[in-house]
Amino acid sequence: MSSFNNYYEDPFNENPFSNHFSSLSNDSENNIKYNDKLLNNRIDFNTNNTSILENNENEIVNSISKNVISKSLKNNKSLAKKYSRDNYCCATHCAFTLDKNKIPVIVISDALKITDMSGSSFIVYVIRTSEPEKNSTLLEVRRRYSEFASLRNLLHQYYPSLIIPPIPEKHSLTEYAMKQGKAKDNPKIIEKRKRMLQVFLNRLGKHPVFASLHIFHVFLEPGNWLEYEHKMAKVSIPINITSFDVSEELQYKEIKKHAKDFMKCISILSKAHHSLISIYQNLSHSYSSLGASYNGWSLHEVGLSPVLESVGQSSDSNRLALCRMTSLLDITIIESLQEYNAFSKIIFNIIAWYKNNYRQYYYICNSLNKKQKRLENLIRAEEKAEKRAKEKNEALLAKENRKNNLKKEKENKDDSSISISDDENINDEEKDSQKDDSLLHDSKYNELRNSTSYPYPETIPTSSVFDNDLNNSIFDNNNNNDNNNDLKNKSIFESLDQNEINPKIDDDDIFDNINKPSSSLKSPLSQDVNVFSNGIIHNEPMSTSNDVASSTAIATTTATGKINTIKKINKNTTKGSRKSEIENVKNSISRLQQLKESQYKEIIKTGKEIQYDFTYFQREKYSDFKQIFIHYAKINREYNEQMIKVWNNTIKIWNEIRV
Amino acid sequence: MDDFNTLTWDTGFGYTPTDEDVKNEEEDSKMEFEEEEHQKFVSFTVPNSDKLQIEICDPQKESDGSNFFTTYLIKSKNSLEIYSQKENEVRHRYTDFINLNNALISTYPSCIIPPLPEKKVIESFITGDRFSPEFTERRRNLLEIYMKRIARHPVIQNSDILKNFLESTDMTRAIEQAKNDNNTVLDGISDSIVNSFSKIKNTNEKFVKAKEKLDRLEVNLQHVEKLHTNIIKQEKSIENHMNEFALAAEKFGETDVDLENIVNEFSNTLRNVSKNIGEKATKEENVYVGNIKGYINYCQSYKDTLKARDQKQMDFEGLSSYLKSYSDELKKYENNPAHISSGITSFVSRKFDEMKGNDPKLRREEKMINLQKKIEELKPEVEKSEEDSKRFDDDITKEIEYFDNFQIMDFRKYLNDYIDIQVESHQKNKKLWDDLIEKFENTTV
Repeated sequence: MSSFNNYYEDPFNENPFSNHFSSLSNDSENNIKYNDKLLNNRIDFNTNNTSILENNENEIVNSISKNVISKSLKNNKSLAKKYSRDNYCCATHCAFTLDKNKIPVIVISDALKITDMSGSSFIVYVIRTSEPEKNSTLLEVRRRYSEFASLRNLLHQYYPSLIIPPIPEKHSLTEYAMKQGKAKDNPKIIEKRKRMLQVFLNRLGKHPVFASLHIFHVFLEPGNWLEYEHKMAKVSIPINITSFDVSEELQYKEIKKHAKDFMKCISILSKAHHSLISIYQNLSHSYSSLGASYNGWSLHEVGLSPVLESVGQSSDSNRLALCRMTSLLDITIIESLQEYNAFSKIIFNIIAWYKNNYRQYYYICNSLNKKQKRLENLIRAEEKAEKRAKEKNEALLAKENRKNNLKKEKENKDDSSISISDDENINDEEKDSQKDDSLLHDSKYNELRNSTSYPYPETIPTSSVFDNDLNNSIFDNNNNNDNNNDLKNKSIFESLDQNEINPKIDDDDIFDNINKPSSSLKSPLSQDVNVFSNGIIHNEPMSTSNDVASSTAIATTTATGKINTIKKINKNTTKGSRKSEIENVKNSISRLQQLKESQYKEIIKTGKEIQYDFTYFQREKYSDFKQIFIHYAKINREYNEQMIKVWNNTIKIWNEIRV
Repeated sequence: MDDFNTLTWDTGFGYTPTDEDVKNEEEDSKMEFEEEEHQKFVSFTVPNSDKLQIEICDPQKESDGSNFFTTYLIKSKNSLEIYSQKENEVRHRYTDFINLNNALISTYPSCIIPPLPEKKVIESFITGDRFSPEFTERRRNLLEIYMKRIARHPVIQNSDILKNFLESTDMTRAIEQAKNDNNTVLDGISDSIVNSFSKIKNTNEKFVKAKEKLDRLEVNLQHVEKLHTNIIKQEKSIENHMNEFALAAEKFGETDVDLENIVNEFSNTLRNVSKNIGEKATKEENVYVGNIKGYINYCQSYKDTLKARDQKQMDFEGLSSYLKSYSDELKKYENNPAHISSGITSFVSRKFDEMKGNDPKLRREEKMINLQKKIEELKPEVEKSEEDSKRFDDDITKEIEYFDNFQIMDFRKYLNDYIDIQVESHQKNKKLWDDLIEKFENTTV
């Protein structure tokens, strides 16, 4: 740690800003507080979104969620105004978010090789944050590559749903293969990293979310980053990404395909670019030998000498101009393409992550559905059992009345037969419920397959609304309200339904707990049967056991009240277990409901975030590529201009000779 | 990038010039310039070289009943005295040019007659229809270059053969001329074949230098031509690869509806730029490299003329050595009447003569008379060949000067054309990029 201090010293003590910053960054408690506030802010921002969603549901379905986000941003802004200065976590925050047109420019002005106490050396990048027009430096700090990586990791930890700009790879294989030496010793790699890290920081600075993050501000401010990072990492919110079998499916197929195509095109494009560049390089070789041969020729000629010489010089200039153009083109095109390749990978990851979230949500819905069915059955069984019990009581009362009123022997037989029939009814009832239960377990899949398999209508519309929202927003950037997209979305959603109702899913670990209580329900019932059948071996399927039970019941009709009492005990035990079961199920339902709601919120939230960031990314991509093309055009134009100048100059020289 | 700087710098030189070397070289060449400046730039033009202007145009397919051929309209303007009209127009076919060329070669052996575009070369150049517009245009261009080179030559522009060619379609005179002159030339050559393998005895510094210079020029031209051909190849592959790049960009645009517009704009510009580069390469090939190739052939004609001069000198030298040997032998007889040549051969010949019954004395007198006769015959021949050779030398001295100046003029023009091609192409591309930049910078997101 001590080795870091030497390069963390603030070289801009005269700067009025720096005092303020150092006081802020020294107070690490403050940092956390600010950060918490920020996190809260973020949650506010998202709840704002959802509230808007709930309020103007129709509006959102029709209009694109872009508006929602801009609205929520406006809300956020007005909030910011409300809290005025309090809402800013630090002065850097002010600088970055005060005026959209005056976002500070971050420049990596230098890369220095530093050797620490132990003798090992590393490269630090001098990050200078300055006002866009005034050119005055606001902040300067030195960070090493690993710190950039840790910043990115930290951001990813907190904001898994956002597209975090990529940083250059640690070890490019081709670079490694070409140059055996370490990356830090290769000036080309360092230069490239310098440029790409600068792009990374500026992207963060322009990004509406990242720019207002205190993590980002601390990174730009002088101070020990690793300590701060360490603290932040401890506080980090756990992210549960459950490892589901992610096969080719789900609603983001289109986006994924899109991203894949994008990647493929990038590789084709860079290949084409490479071959073009290599020819340019060959051409510059040829021009240099052409220049040499003209110069050589000019030595042999008398009258033509100056003319040939000037042509030779022009050829040399041509070579230089070509070299310059090729290297510039290489930097702009290849590095941008590499960056966007990394971007597509990041998008892949985010989609996969979201897919998992969505699945989790679906599983919760599914098990909740099962639970509620179970509960319904249990309640029904309970009600029936109570009804029977009442009827029995009434029957018993009537019997007693009859006993009292009519008297003696004959009626005894009738009595028992009635009670047996009652018992049989109850047994049937119980067996029905048991059947239901087994059906629920065995043919869950079939049941869910039916069109009515979505037992919770309220979840589907909202999720589909949300889903469409998201897809719309993503596709809407490409295609304003194209009907095809709606169709696509529908089909995506349908395919999702089909895919989601997958028997495999039910076997997943998470739902084992949920399944357990329902399976434990089975055992008391079967025990009942066993008790009832009085030691008769009874492991056969339910339907036959039913028959056997009834036959045994008939066989034992002659047997007297003893059996009745046993039955009563049985009934009481089933009653008790059923009640506790209902309680259990109810509990788990409420638990699941809570889980479902939180998960739903999470999905909505992350969906919004993804959708929002994807929109932002698309917009950035558009302007980025426009910039790339402009750069490309400008480099080419510069080459052409240079050559026009060179040749015109040659003609000028000739005219002077002639005069 | 830095690596290949040093690698390719010295190709063609064989050594890497140090700074000092370069400095010295520069100083040297500066000095040279100062010395030669006046003479060099004043004598750029050849006198009267602009008095006859020739233009070839309007190729037409014609038939003489059984064969088809192409005729070209030859327009000429002149300010020369031998022509009765200031402007002439006449149609000729390719065969007529061959006859003209042959006639000129035989009539003016001391002039560098530029090479006529070869029939076979042209045909192999563009495989396919002999009457295709590309073929006729190419041939027209080459014939025009040929005619212009002839027309500017101070000697040939006043030739009757050329005058006849420019004024009438009738070529019989030229054909005859070629035959006649060929015969007389052949007569002279037949004698000299004997010692055609021997070397020139009195080498003339001037012509040796001219030959060396010509060889260097040829080497340089070949070198430059090769490099330019290489560059043209590379430019053409840039055209292809740029198109591929544009295609890749378009595919890329298809994946993203947002980007499609700007990507298409971009790839359109790329396509146009690549088209320009391709056109530039084709122009360089047809104009500049074509000119250089033509010049390499021209050098060959120059060489041939120099060889003819050497031949003339050798003729003279051979004849005079004959004359010398005859007169030497005659002197021997005169100085020593009883002299019997020693040696086995003379002994054998003497015995042979004796056996025949010839009187050696009589034979000696006969021989002396014969020698006298031969010497009498040879003397005018030697004088004539000396005169010939001297005239040839004078002519060729002028010719060398003409060629040098023509070369300077020609290459100035060629290089000018080359630069025009470069500038034009760069300006076109610059405009394309300008338009694209303007479009992109004006459209807002």
